[in-house]
Amino acid sequence: MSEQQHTPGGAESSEGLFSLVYDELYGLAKRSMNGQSPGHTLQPTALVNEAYLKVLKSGNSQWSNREHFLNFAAKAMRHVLVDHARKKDAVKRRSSGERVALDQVVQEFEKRSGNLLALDAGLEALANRDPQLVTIVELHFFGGCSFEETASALGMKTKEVKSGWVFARSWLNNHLKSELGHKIHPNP
Amino acid sequence: MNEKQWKEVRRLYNAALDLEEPEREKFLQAECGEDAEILRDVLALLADSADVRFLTWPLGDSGRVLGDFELLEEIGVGGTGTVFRAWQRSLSREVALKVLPEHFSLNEDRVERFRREARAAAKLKHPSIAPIYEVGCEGTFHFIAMELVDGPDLAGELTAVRGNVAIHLGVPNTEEYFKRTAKVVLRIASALAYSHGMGVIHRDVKPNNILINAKGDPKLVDFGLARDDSQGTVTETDRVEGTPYYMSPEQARAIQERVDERTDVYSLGAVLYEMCTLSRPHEGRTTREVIEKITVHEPRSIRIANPKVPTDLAVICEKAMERELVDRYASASELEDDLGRFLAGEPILAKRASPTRRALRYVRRNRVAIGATAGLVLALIGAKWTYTWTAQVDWIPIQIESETASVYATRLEISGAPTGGEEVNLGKTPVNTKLPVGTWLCRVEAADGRRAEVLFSLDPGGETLKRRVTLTSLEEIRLGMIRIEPLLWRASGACTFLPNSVTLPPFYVDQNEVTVDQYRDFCEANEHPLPYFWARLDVSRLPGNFPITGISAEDAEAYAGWKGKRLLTHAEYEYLLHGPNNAKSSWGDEAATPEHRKAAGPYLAENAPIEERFEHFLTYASPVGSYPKGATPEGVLDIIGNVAEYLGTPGMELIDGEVRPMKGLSFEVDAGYIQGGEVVENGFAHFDRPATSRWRPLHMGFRCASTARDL
Repeated sequence: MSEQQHTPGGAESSEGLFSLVYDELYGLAKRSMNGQSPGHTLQPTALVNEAYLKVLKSGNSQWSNREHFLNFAAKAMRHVLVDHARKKDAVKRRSSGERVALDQVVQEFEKRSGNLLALDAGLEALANRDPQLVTIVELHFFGGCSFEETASALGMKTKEVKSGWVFARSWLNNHLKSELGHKIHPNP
Repeated sequence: MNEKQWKEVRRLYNAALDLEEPEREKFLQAECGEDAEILRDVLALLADSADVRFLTWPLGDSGRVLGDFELLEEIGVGGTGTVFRAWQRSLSREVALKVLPEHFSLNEDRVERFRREARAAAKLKHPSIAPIYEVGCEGTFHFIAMELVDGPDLAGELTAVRGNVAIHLGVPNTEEYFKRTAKVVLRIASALAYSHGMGVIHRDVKPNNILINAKGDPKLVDFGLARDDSQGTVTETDRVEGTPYYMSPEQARAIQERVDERTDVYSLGAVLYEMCTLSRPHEGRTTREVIEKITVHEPRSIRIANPKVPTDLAVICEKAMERELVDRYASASELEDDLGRFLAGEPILAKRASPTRRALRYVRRNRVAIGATAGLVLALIGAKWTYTWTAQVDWIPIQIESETASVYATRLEISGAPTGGEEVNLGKTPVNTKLPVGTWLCRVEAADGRRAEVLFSLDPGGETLKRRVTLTSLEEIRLGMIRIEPLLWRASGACTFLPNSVTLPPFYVDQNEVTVDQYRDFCEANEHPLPYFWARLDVSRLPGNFPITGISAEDAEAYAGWKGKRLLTHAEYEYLLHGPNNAKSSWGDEAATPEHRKAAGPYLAENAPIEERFEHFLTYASPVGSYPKGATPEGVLDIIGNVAEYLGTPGMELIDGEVRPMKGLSFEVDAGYIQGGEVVENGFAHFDRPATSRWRPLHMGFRCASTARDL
């Protein structure tokens, strides 16, 4: 797993992080279900930053580098969401409140991305071409990082991140549309 | 695609983002050269059809909310952004929110222009100008909030007029219609007079920028290219900006001299022209072509385009669209006043142009048609004009070879519809000359009556066009063809790049698509290369009566030339598809059944292995003429169904009001209408790539046509 390179502590700590991100998602979903007041806007960066604060409080020293953490957390977000979307597709589950809440988060993401499994496949295809673009998408879309944060997490200039982002976004849009056959012709 | 190509695509994409048409097109063509694949990929990415919210952060409501505004629904997409109906929280009101595409934030020039648009427009308060409420930026999204006008834009209204379902303008060609037209234009003229007084020139007056509210009041929007005198020029470089159809000659020439308020007067005149005639004063495939026409051509006389237009209104329109600034209305308020006089039944101040001026207009209008004989007319009006309006046209070399024969060229509309221009004698073959850019039909005729035809389109900056044709007897040409006598035909609203109504000359068309056997004969007789994949596959499985595919548009043209024929024009093709009454399909309005045409196969990517595509073709194509029930009333088969077909004139599509060429393709299957040669079960399909000699898909075939000349 590519996450391993960011986690000297190995599988244990990466599992810990996954459950942490999962908890955060769950918390988010619950809040959105409870219908918070419209004035309360969750800042785009809040999710990964909140997660990071919790890691710091837990005294987990190997995450002292915030940039590393953001990178990892964004990948974890993608993983958790896609995984959930896949399970949702595959199995009819008992509806525990937790799962339903996460369903809603997946739904919110899919409003912006279309089918998450398709996006995931698109990102895999993009990774073959240019893995850095995939990391930008993970940080900005799945991690909710601003362009500035994304740039600092990757050690890039903000302008480079932006131009990578618009390219990746157009590319993914085209890729998803052609995969879904929006521009179909029978092509015998 | 290898890594080098990928990097090239990225580089070109990012560089092109900073450019606007027509520079973008020029830049990409220069950079890509022969590499059609890279060009195609970059263009596909630049099309940027993504929803503005695609891949924005979804949690909380930061994606749905921009500043004080909640996005409710998308109400329009234009070249400069997406417009949403939105809710302004602080003032509890609905507004129109124009959001720039995300990549705009990369380009500081554009952001600056956007802000300037807002600053200039926010000062304007006039009943016929939609007010700007607020300008802002959230993350990478820049937006502008303005009054939500509850109604269609004038472009939409004109489409409704064409379909005779217009709410505000009513039934075309009635006295009431022209009155309402004059009223709408008068109010916009009044808005322009006001904004000019405030030092703001709109610079992009066009039907899409005139909205009509529920009460029928017009509102001018989008001072997108406006120049505010107090803020200096918008563009330091000499970029041509604005939508070309309504652009004034001096704007189109992008000359150094100041664009002033009379520029808006011209554009509003062009809008009036379209409202009166339901056709644009100038048509063209590319921005460049439209610009060329505006700088060189006089529009078709408004009264010839539509004799029902009241004389005074026609004179007002012509005065507003005078080429020379000094001849035009000096201000929008002069135009406003004359429209007021027209509505009150008083004499207008504008005068019909003098006979000399009319003669000059005539010459400009028929510049190409009378090219060879223009000397006489020119002598009457002064030779000094010759230089100005011939030097600016792009002339492209052409070579036509055949046995000795005379060649006559006629200019066609881009769609292949007649222009009414006269023939130009190009002399005897071999012809080696130049013609201006545009679409041309040449008849090649030998003394013994044998003939051939050459149909082609010349693009600005294009390479030498070379064709070889075989002189053929009429009897032989018409073997297997069906005569079509088009009635007056009205284009559907979707085909705005075709004339609204046109009478096509009679023509002959192959009853069937050209078959594998026929094409094989052609290759053997001419030592023309066989389709590239035949050597690699078991061609014995390919039935001889299947349509030929896997060839380029140029291959199809070569075949037609050998037969003394040509490919169909777009206009002819549309006629075969819809008939004189704009039926849904070539057989009528009846929905397609398996008896009309074979069901389409599943989508298969063009880059799938050739073996796979070959199997796909064998499964989903049929022998030509297998579906007699799907015939046109004249008996032409497979116009819908079986394979798509190359055309001899460029295919076109309309993007943001700009017509773009798609050379030699039949295309466009649209909601409810099947307009292309292919069947798509659900939804639509269009082909958005140019036909190059390297594009040889297994779903494109062709058939031939021939102009009927009975005398």
